[in-house]
Amino acid sequence: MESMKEMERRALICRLVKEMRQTDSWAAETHIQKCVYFLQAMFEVPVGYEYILYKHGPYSFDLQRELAVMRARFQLDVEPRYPYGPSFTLGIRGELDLDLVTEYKSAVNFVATEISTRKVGGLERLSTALFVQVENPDLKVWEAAKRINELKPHISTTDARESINEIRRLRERAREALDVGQSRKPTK
Amino acid sequence: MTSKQFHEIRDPIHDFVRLDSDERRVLDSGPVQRLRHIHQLAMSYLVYPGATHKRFEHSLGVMELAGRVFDVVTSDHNIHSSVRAVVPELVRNDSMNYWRKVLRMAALCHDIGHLPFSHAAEKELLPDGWDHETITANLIQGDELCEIWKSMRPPLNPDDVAKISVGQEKIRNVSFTNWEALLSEIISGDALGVDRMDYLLRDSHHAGVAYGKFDHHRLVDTMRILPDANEESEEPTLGVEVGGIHSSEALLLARYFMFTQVYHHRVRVAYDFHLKQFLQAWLSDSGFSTDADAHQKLTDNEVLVELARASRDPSSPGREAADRIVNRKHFRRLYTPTRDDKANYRDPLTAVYEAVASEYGEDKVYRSEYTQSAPDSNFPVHDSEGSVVSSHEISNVLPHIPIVDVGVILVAPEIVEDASKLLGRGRKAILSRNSGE
Repeated sequence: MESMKEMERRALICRLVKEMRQTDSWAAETHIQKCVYFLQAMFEVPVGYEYILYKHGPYSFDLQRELAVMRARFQLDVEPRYPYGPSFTLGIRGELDLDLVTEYKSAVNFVATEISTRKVGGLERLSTALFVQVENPDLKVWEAAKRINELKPHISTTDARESINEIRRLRERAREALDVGQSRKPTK
Repeated sequence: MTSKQFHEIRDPIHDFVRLDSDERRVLDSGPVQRLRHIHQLAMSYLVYPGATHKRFEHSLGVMELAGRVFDVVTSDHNIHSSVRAVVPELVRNDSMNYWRKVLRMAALCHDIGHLPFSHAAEKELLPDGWDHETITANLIQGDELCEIWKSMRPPLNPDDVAKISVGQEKIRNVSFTNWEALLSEIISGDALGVDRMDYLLRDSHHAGVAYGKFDHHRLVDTMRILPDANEESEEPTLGVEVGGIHSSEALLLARYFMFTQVYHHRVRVAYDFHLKQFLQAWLSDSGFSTDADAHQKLTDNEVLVELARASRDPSSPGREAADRIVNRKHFRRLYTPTRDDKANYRDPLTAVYEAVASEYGEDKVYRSEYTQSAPDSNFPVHDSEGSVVSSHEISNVLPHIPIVDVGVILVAPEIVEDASKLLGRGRKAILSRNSGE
């Protein structure tokens, strides 16, 4: 699938950040990284970022760079927040650019509501579980849980197994939610 | 008399860099010696005459600092209790010496893949999928260095050295343990990596500017491995004791000043551009070779000789670019977007570039744009009450350090006056193009 154009992709991130703040997400970089990963890996939104397993799970250096550019271009801004550190917010240009993306609104809304409000520890477990499943689709649940624990020793196999099951529940909820929406349905 | 086991090299930044005999063998190897002939700051010496230092001494400095940080963060009384549980290597004394060696060797070798004049034309003249980090990893895993790794006691695994040297962003499809990720972060971490510490100190020293200086002794002594200060995350990362917060503020301010004032000085940007033009013409379609022998034979020296020759030979490919460098006929600044321009127009640089290019031709104008890729200044701090909090909660400075975002339109000196008039006459109309305003 062809990747989105830069302007649309950035507008999509602006919309995501706006909705994350409305849902009371902490909206730190980690939250944005994981939410965009869910958009890409679960909903096949063609943002075109390359993700590797890094800090707190899947991480894209391309997205890191894009967020920096968007801050420099006043599309995004950051504000210090107690006690965990900076949160992203929409910048003055970001408001103007929101309407440049018309697709994927339901997927963005789902991710902002269901994913972005979690704490970093939970996001890390969940997104790592999704990453391991996407990379190794044939692994059984216990095998995937073991793999997650190998990659992130601070995630126990019990927590990893729970995260894998949570991914399955999220896919089902997303399918139901997006059946009535106009956006892309989640992948199996 | 037995031969000396430890060696000292004088250094303007660290006074002495100390190394053992294994490290000296690596230092004496072809790939590391080649760095004696790669300028650290490309052609910045044409702007800052003192900035003629090379990647060789920087590599020694990075090794020295990496060793110091390793000793501090692995010292038993500096290890945070929650970190012990998730980084088992910290409590295994038998492997500590091995990893210290790997880290220092990785630091010493971290720049060996650099092409002549460092970053110039790397993207344009290397095959797809290659960059200097890929070449670095290949050389570390190549015959000459592997012979040294294997002969050591215990032998070093070249893959370990390559991973720690190049880091997770550049070695894909290889998983890093928490420990390996931490070691790699010691070298190339966004906020507190020693590569950056050394180049800021060293570059400011040689360029003769004070912007890059900070109290690195204090900073290194206060560095710790801490659980990330994010919500409910136990992932370990590099942070500092609260006593190091001002030194880390100074480091990150130094980064901001050095990038805006030195690394992206408009005249340096112009010389980088002309060097890229020259290299593209000189190397034509073949570009840089990724072969180890060819890489070893090509340094700044060979390029400078060819540059001088080309500037005198009207039939030589790249003659015009060579002439602009050698005879200082470099492009001049026409336009730098203001803060208001960036806030009010979608893409002011492109707008000005297109206006000038359509009037005078694309060969008379160059657009340069750089945005800091990793502006992170958020790292964990072990505070005076024993909690781990975000650096942004402790510091009044870090949340307000701007992102480095520098852009400039340069034009050929022969049109700078006319182009200035063109921009002066229709500034608002030009900037509004493609902006949707």
